[in-house]
Amino acid sequence: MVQITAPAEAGEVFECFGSSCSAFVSGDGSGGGAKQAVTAVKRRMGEWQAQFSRFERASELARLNADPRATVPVSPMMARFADTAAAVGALTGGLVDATLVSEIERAGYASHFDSPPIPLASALALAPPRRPAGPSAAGGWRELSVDRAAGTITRPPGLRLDSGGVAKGLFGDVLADALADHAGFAVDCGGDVRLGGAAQLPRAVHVAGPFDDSVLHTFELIEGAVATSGIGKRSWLTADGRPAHHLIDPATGGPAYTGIVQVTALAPTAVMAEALAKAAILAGPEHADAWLSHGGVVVYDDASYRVIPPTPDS
Amino acid sequence: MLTQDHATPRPYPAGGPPPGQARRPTGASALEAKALASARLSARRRRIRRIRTTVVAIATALFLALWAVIFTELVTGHDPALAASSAKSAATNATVASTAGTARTSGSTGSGSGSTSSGSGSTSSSSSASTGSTTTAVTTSQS
Repeated sequence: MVQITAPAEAGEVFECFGSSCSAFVSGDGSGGGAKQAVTAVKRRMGEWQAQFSRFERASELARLNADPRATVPVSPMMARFADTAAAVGALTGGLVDATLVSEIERAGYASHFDSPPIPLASALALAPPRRPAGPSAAGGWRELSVDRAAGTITRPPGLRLDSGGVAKGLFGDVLADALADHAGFAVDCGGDVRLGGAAQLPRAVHVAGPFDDSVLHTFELIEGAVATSGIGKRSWLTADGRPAHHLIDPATGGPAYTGIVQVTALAPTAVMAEALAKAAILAGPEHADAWLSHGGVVVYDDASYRVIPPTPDS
Repeated sequence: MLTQDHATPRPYPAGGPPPGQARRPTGASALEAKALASARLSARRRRIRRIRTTVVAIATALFLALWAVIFTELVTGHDPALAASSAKSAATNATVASTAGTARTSGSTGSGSGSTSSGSGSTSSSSSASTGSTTTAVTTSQS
């Protein structure tokens, strides 16, 4: 009988990136104790929120998006984000494209989203016929070029970046690297969860449902990442009464209604989990599983769901 | 000062007491009645005491028995509330060695009424483990 005992965890749940975030850390690390680590995580998330906001004119991302130059000097973290956005575009064959800012704004998401979402069942009743999304021929992500050594991003002026889920995944991965020498940790960057730690302790990760926040499934994970993406939380009605949300079909430029309302994906990193979750939703029911080789949960329009079991060495 | 009339009860006139009134005992019979009432009262008090003692004894015994069962379960690590997670974490050490860039899992449990697929987590058991893990569960949801 092996007894695994973890030191008590320090933790905090807080609002950031327009959603609920949390950090739990146990044991000492190179940066100090668990409590200090949690404080540092919260502080860094707050700094990134200010740096990567699409809606704050003073943010680095907003200044980059408005910059008329083709090549723009940026901070190391912004360069890394742009690099990640291009990589996610390549990984998903253009299904997940972080350059669809104009399309998101046309759909109605041009400012902070602080109104309550429309009920998912109502949105689905009003939604257009379901069809899988597809990549855009233009593929703005292909236009991104990053020189990390020089600290510059090159793209056609006017091509804008949306931080969205890709940035949150990146934040989770960066924080995970910083917390790796603690006994255990879990950071939730608004739905993108990264967990691990030197003590290899298992942790329960609950998957909340999109219709009523009930727990659909619980994974027991030692390390890795879990990301959930869906069309239920950031949704609204357009001026002409049509439902809309923030997951854009690159092929049409409009909100994607594919028959899937939420996907949770498991992956080694939060960026990959985020990319796979979004790609699975956009691919639609017939092709979603192909994106979930590490495991996950798919929730369909009719509220039924399917669990793809995690594979230990998938 | 008491008068004779007060000290010695007068018998009722022939025909007995008025309707609704008991015959008043006289002399030795009054003393007997008092003794009888006292005896009955004592018996009643004993019975009440016996019942009360029995109820308290049974309640105490039940409480102690229940407490002993729960205490034993907790001490031996068989807390029913933790049974599910203990069972899950029994597979924890079955997690196969991770290769770089893969998620490591120790199990998964389902709930709800969805069309949950079956299938094992494809973990191979290498040793059993019980966990005193204090990791906090996290929830992933749409943001």
